[in-house]
Amino acid sequence: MKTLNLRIAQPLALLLLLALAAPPALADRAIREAADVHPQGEVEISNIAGRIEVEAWDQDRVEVTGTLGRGAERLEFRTQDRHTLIKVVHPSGTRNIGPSQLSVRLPRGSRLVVVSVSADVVVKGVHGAQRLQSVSGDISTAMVKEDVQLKTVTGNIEVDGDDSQGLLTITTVSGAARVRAVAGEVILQTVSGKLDVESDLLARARIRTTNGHASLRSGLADGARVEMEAVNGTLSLQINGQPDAEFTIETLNGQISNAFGPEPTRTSRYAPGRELRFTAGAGSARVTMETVNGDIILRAE
Amino acid sequence: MTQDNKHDTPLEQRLRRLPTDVPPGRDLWPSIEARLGQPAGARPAPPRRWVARPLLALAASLAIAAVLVLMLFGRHAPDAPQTAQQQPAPVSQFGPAYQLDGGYQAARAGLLDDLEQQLAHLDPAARAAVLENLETIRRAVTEINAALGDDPANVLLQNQLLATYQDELSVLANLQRVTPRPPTRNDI
Repeated sequence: MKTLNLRIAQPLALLLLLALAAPPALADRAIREAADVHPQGEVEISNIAGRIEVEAWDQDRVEVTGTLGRGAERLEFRTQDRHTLIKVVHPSGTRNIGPSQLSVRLPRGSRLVVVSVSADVVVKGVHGAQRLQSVSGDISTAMVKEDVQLKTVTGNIEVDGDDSQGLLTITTVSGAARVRAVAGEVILQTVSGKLDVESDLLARARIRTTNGHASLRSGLADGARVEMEAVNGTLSLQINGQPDAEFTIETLNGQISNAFGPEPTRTSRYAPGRELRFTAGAGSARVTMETVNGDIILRAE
Repeated sequence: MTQDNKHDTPLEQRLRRLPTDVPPGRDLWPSIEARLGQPAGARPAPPRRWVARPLLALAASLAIAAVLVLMLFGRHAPDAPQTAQQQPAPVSQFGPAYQLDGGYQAARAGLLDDLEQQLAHLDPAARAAVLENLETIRRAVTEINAALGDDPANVLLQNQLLATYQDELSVLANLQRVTPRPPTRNDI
């Protein structure tokens, strides 16, 4: 019996020793890197899992702090010309990837590229263009001046603007998107995610969903163009202020509800389909909304 | 009648020149007449349907049983994870009477070829969401195609069908972009 116990105890002790002497790659490790960079350079960050926090500051310097998670080999930190790369590197064939936490400070005017798989991405105060993508991680950013392009599969997206002009492009599969105070142009596309946009004044909006619901609340700039489309989702448009637009609204099987007066008419005596065409004010802007089965709601402020 | 013919259009004149009767290739009347003269008992007996009916019933029962067995086994089969290859066959129609051309099929097939690999890099929840949403798009395509069958000239439906096909390609193409291989030291 004693021999048997020893037989079990010896390998166990060995395993324990091995665990205690494990290489640092298996444990969370603190990281800290910094370098002087161009004030309008591009910073590219790649981290598969965990969290990426990016904050702009008034220094021409990039600084990275945080921890590398289980399975991460090292942090690649490299600056060349106007390009800085910050990348969590994993050995080939790593399957069990723990979360790495990156906190990055960069010049306010930097252009930012973030690539993540499940890491959440939070960006604050960056004035340069942003291209952020994640598969299942959530993305939250502020849009200031420059264009912003965001892509997720299931991750949710939040964008807060400062009402300055720019182009915002959002693409999700089932992730929801919430956009606030973005002027200029918004292009949103999803299959089943919920889209919610609120702005003081928009010049262009193109919103497309297959099954998700889309809601837009905004004033319309002179000559604005708004296009909203859905197959099965509901489309809701609230126009802030006095509407000055030409409306073309059409659905095959959905209902149209209009707060601005005219009632929809049947498109055919014998087939389903309703449409609503009318002009409010001088008709400076143009609004097009269409669905196959989804309802369309036009609201006043 | 004839005096009006000079006002006929060329088409009407050509129609008028067509023969007004067409003689049959074989005269059937003599045999019909001969059979009418025969007594009722001499007529050929109708097929004995009472022999055929049980056989038909048996065949129908077997078919129904086979369908039920298939349904039963289908329901009780263990839930295997859905893969891209289990997705429905490509939908290639644009409306009831128009097949999408090879360019579209090739673009779609190319993206679908990579789909399985991309899905392998996703966690199970994201993988399920992608497959479910691709299925949502395909259902929408089917619905719109069916509606176009009833109303082929409907512009709304044509727009939406085109946009929905683009949605699918867009999802597949974006999936390629957002599912990179995990970075490894070999990449550096």
